Amino acid sequence: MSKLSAYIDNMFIGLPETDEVLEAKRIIQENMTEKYEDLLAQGKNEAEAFGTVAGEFGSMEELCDEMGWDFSRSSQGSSDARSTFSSASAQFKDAASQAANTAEQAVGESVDEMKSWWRTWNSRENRRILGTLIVRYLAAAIIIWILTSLLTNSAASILIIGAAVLFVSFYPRSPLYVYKEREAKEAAKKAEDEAAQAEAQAVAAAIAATNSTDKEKSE
Amino acid sequence: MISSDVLRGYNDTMILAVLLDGDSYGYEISKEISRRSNHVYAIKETTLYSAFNRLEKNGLVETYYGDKTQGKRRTYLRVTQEGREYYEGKCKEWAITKELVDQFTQEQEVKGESDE
Repeated sequence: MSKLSAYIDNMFIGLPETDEVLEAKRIIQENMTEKYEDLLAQGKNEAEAFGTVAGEFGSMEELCDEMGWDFSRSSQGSSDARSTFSSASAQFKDAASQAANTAEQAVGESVDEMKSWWRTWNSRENRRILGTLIVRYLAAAIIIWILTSLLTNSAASILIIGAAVLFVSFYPRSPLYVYKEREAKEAAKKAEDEAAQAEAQAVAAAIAATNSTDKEKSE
Repeated sequence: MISSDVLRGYNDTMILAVLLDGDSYGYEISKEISRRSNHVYAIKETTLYSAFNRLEKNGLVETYYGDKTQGKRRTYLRVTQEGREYYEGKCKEWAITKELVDQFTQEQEVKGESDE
């Protein structure tokens, strides 16, 4: 839905925010949103629904002519549309690529952060994580104490202690990983939103370019 | 799909025809136009809004806010008496236009058949 809003916003970029313009935008958004939701309900996926709705937007030039608005101020302004399209496409590719790589980068960052987490321990979040770890270690210490008291073999005791430390630190999911994973997801979501916005701009510019070409042909 | 250029000038008539069956709002009107045209014509959003604005400015329709349903408050259109008269005039105009254009297009069809 944010993609559709971004698309409509982009269509109206450059026009003064008068009551008349805002009302037109509101009604068009209302219709397009309803159509989009209807298509989703019919089983189309988000990309198909967006493509159909965006394809039926029409021409800003027609709207501007009818309403007496200055079309040259609109983002669809014509010859610039192609360059807008190119830059928006590039922006979309960058944003999409960024979205795809964010999770991978975030995992790498989380490992780095884990190595130096103690340097930034003096934060509420890290204190909470530290507290969770201490509780886990205490629980592990009690279990180790019970197990080692039952064993006489010192090598076996060392192995049990080592396994317990590793288990507590990294399995099933270390609090540190959980924390960093959440950060990674937030970063990925942000990148996806940026990608969606850029895609909407690219589609808007493509339609503008097409309209512009059609207009030139008809002239 | 039929090009909107071909139908320019008759979008207002189509909208009025839908509204003569009852008050309606943007998406419902565009859906009804598509349905009545057997899905060969889909009115564009900007064309629809331009037509709404034109019809309202000329006093052929009135707008009002409907009840809030599912968090949405739709803008409804209602046809006025002037709108009804305009629609009747356009129907007569179309009958004449159709008859006139038919004279030429039928001639083309006959030529096409004789060429075969």
